Amino acid sequence: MMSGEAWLYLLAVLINAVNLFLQVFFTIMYSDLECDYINPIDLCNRLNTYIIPEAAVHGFLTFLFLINGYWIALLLNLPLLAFNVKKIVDNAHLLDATEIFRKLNVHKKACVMEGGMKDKTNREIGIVHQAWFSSGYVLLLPLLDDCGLNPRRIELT
Amino acid sequence: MAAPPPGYNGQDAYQAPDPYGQQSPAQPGFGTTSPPPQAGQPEHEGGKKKKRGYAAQAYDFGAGANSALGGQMQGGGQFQPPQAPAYGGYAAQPEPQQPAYGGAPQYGAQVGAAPVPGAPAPGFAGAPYGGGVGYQPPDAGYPGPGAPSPGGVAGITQGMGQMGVGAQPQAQPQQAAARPGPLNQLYPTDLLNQPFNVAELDLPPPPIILPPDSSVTPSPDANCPPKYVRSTLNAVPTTHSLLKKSKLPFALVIQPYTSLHDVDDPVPIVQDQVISRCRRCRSYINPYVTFLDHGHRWRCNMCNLTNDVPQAFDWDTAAQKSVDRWQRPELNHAVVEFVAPQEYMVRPPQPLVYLFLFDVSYASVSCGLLATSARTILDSLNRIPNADRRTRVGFMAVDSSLHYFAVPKDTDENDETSMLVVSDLDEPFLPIPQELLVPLSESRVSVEKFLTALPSMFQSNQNNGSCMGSALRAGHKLISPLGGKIVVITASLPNVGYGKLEMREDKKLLGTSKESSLLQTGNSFYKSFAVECSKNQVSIDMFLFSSQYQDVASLSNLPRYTGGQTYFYPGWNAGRSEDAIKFATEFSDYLSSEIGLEAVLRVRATTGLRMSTFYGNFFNRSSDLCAFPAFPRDQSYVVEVAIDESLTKNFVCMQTAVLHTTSNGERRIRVMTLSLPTTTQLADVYASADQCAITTFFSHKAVERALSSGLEPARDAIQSKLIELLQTFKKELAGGNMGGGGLQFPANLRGLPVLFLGLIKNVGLRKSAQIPSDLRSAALCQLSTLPLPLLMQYIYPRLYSLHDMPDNAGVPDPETSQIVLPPPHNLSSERIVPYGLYLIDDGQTQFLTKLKVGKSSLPELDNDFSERVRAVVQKIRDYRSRGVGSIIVPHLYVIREDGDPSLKLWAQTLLVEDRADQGMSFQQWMGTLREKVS
Repeated sequence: MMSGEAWLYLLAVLINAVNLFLQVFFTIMYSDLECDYINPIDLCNRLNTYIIPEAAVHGFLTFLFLINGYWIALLLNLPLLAFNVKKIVDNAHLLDATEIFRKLNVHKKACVMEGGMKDKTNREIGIVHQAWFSSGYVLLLPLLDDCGLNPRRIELT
Repeated sequence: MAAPPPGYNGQDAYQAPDPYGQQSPAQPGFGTTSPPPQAGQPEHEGGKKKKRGYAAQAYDFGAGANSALGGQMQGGGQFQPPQAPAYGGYAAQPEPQQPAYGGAPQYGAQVGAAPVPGAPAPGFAGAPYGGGVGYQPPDAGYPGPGAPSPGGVAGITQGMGQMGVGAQPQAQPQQAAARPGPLNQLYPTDLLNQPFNVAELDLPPPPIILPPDSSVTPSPDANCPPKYVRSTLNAVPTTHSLLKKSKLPFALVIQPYTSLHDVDDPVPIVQDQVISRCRRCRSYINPYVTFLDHGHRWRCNMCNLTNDVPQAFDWDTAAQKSVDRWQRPELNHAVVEFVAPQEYMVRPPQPLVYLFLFDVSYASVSCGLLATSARTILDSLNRIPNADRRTRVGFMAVDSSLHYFAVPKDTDENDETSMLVVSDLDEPFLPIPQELLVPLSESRVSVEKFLTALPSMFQSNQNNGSCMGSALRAGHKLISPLGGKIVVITASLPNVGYGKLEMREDKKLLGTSKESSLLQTGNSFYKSFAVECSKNQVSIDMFLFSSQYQDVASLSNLPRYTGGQTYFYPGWNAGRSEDAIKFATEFSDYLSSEIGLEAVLRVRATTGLRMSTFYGNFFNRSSDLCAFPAFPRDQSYVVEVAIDESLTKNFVCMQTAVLHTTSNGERRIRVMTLSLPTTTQLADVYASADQCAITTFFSHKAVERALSSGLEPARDAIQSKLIELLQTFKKELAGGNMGGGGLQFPANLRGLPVLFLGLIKNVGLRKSAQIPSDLRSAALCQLSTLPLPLLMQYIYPRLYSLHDMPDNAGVPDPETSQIVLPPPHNLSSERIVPYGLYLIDDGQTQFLTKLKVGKSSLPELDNDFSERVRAVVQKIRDYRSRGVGSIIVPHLYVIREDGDPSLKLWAQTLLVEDRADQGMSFQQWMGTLREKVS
C-alpha cells in the first residue's frame, strides 16, 4: 500500500509531465509560426485554449504542496505561480494575434523558462523522469534550428 | 509535430466560400473548381495550395474593365523620360551586338560611351540630387575647404581613394568592384555654434552612390526615387556589429503611392503578363540583375541563383516579331507595375464595396453630421471609382438598434427604398439577403433618392444609444463574402450591444503614468474583430466627430489592423461653415481616391538582410507578409531591416512588392527596387544617414512604445537614443577635434536634435496634463501613418513670415508656374515680431497670427498682398507637388490680438523651439544633450 506522500508525488509528476509537454508544444508552435507553417490567428486560437487550464492545474498542484507542507517543492513553484497570476490579473495571459510577431521572442523565452522550472520540480521530487524530458529537449533543439535555418515555405505576393 | 498542422491551409482558410456564386449566376464559371493552374510556381498571397481554379472569363472580365481606364500609361515605351539621352543611345544599338552582351568588361565599355562618365552614380546624374545644397558636394574639390577631415587616417585614405577613382572611374571597373567606391563625404558640424536652419529639412536625403555599372541598363530611373522608398542609411554597413556600433537604425520608409489617383503619378506598367521572377527567392526581375549565357539567363541580384530569361523578352509570339528586351520597363525602371495573371488571384478580382454606417443618434443628428455626410456622398457619387461599373454601395443607420436599407434597382417597379429595423443586438442577422448591397450603376437613382431622404428620416430622433459594435458585426456579415470598405461615420461613444465602451477618461489620470492605460484598447472586441475583418478582406475607416469622450483609443484599433485610417474631428459642428467645408471636402476626396483591394506587401532583400519588424496600419499575416484588406494611398510604412550575415557585395537591393486589385478590378503588382551601396567604414554610414527617415522610424517606434509601456518611456527612449547617437559620433568619429565643448554631428544629421525635440513635444507624446486622451490617440494614429513629408511637417511645423516675404513669394514662378513659397523660419518666438503676420502650419491645422480683420476664413480683400497670402495658403495645401497623396484640408484659424486666448495658446504649442509648460526650449534641450554627452 502506497502512502499519501507517494500518491501526491506521482500525481505531481504526471501533472508536471503534462504541463511540460504543453510547453514543448507551445515552443514548437512558435517555431512553426516563425517558419510560416501556421498563421497567427490559428496559432492564437489554438494556444489560448490551453493557457488557463495549464495555469489552473499548476496552481492546484502548488496548493497541494502547500497543504501537505512540502516547503521546498512549494518554493520552487511559487515564482511560476506568481508569474501566471500576474499575467492573468493584468489580462495579458492570452496571446494577441496582432502583436504576436513583436513578442514572439519574449513568449519563446517564457516558454523555455516555464519548462525549465517544471523540470526542476520534477528533479526535486526525485524521479528519474526528468532525464527523459531533458533528453527530449535536446532532441528537439536541432528540429527547431532546422526550421529556422531552412525556411521551406513558399513565398507569395 | 513541426509539420503544418492539418486544417491549416494558408489562404484557403481565409477564403470566403464561393462569394460570386449566388450573386452573379450569369457567369457559370465562377463557382466551379477546375484543376489547379499548372504554370510554374503560381502563388497567391499567403497560401500554399493552388486549389482554386476560376473560369478564364473571370479574369477577362477584369481585364476588359481595365481597358475603360483612361489616362493610364500603357507600357514603358511611352514612359521614357525625355532627359535620358544615355538610354536612347544605348537602345539604338544595332541588333548584332546584342549576343556579345554578357561579359562584364564589354558591358562596361559600352556604357562608357554613354554621356555619364565621371559621375559616380549614373542613376542619379540627372536627378535633382546633383546640386548639393548643405552637404554632399561630389563634384567640388573633395575635402571641402574649411571642413576638417574626420576620422584621421581612414578619412584621408578615403579621400585619396575618392580622388583616384573620381579621375577615371570608367577605366577601372574591376577595381571599383573590388573595393567600396567613394561614398558621401562626412562633414562634421558643431550643433551649438552653427544653428540649425529649418530649410535643411527640405533637402533631399544624402545621394545613393552606387558603384558604376551596377544596373543593367543606364536608365536614370534604375534606382528607386526617395518619394517611394527611403532608407535611414544610404550606405549599408556590411556587418551586424558595425550597424550596432553605429547605433543608427536601419529601416525603410515605404510609401508605395504618392498620390490619390494614378493619373497624378503614373508608373510604367508591364502589360504583357510576362513576369520573370527568381525561382528561389521569388524576387522580380529588376534593373540590377545580371545577364549570362548570351542573355539567355539572368542572375538574381538577391540570392545569386541563375534563372531563364522568358522567351517573350526577345520575341513577341502574338505579333511574330522580335522585340528589344532593353525597352522593357522592368529593366529600366525601379518602380514598375505588373499586370498579374490568374495565378496571382485566389478568387476573381472583387468589386469595390463601400458600406456606410451612419450614426443617427441625437448627437449626430443635432450637430448636422448625418445631413452633411449624406449630402457629401450624394455629391460624390460620380467621384467614387466605378470604371468597371461593379462598385457596390450599402447603407446602415445606427442608434440603439440597427436600420438596414434595401435599395431597389432602378428598373424595379417598386422603387421605394425600404427600411428594416433590427433590435436584436446580440446576434445581428440580415433581414433580407439581397438589395442591402447594390451595384451603384444599377441603382443610381434609388441611391440618390435615398440619400436625399435619409436626413429627414431621423431628424427628430431623440435616441442617445449607439450600438456601433453590433452594427460593425452586422456590416461585416453583410460584406464579408465580397470584402470591401466599411465607412463608419459616428459622433457618439458605442454604449449598447457588442463592443460596448465605457466613459473611462478621468481628468485626474491625465499627465500621470496611468494615462497610458487610456491609450490602450478598452474592449478586446476591437482587436479580435479587427483580425476577423482582416481575414475576410474587410477594411474599416473611422470618421469620429464627438464633442465628448469617444474612446478613439479603442475605435482606432479597427483601422489600425485592417489597413484603414482614423479621422478625428473633435467638437465638429455643421453650423460652423469651415467645419462643414473641411469634412465635406476631405470626405469627398476620400471617396474619390483609388484604393487597392485584397493587398499584401512583402519586402525581399539581398541574402544577409532580413526584414525584422513592420510598422503601419495592417495585419502581419505571417512573419514577413503584411495584409491589407484595402490599400490606402495616403499612408506610409516602416520596415526595420536586420543584418543577419555579413554582406559581401558592394551594393545590396531591397525590393518591395505590393500585390493588389485595383479599384477597377485588375490584379496588379507594384514593385519598387532600391539599391544601396555597402560600406565597412563607420564614417560612411554616418555620412549617408537620412535624418527624416530616421525620425520617421523613431516616430513609429515611439508610438508603439507609448501604446505598450506608456508616454514617459516613449519620450525617454527618444531622448536616450539621441544622446547615444551623439556619444557614438563623438567617440568614434570626432575623437580628435573636441575643443571647447562643442557638440559634433554630421551635417546631414543636423536636424535630428530639433526633430526629436519636436517629436517629444508633439501632441501625441507631449508631457502635459491638459491633453484629452482622444486627441492623443488621434495624434498617435497620425504619427504612425503619415507619409514622410507630411510627418516631418507634423513634427516640426512650418512657420512663414508673410509681412516681409520676398517679392517673388506668393506669385507664380515664371518658369514652373508654381506659386513660390516664402522661406520657412525656425519655430521660435524670437523670430516673431509683434506687428508681423505669420502662418504656422503643421499639416493638420494652420494658424494665421495677428490679423486685424477677418474671421476664420481668409478675407477676400482686393489687394495684391492679400491675394499673395491666399496664394501661399493654397499652395501649402498642394500635396501633389510634394509627392504625397492626402485628403487632409488643414483647418485655418485666424488669431487676433483680442481673440480667443486658448487658440493663441494652442498656436504657441506648435512653436517647438520655445519653452512650453513642461517642455524644454531648444536651448535647454541642447544644454541637456551636451551635458549628457560630455
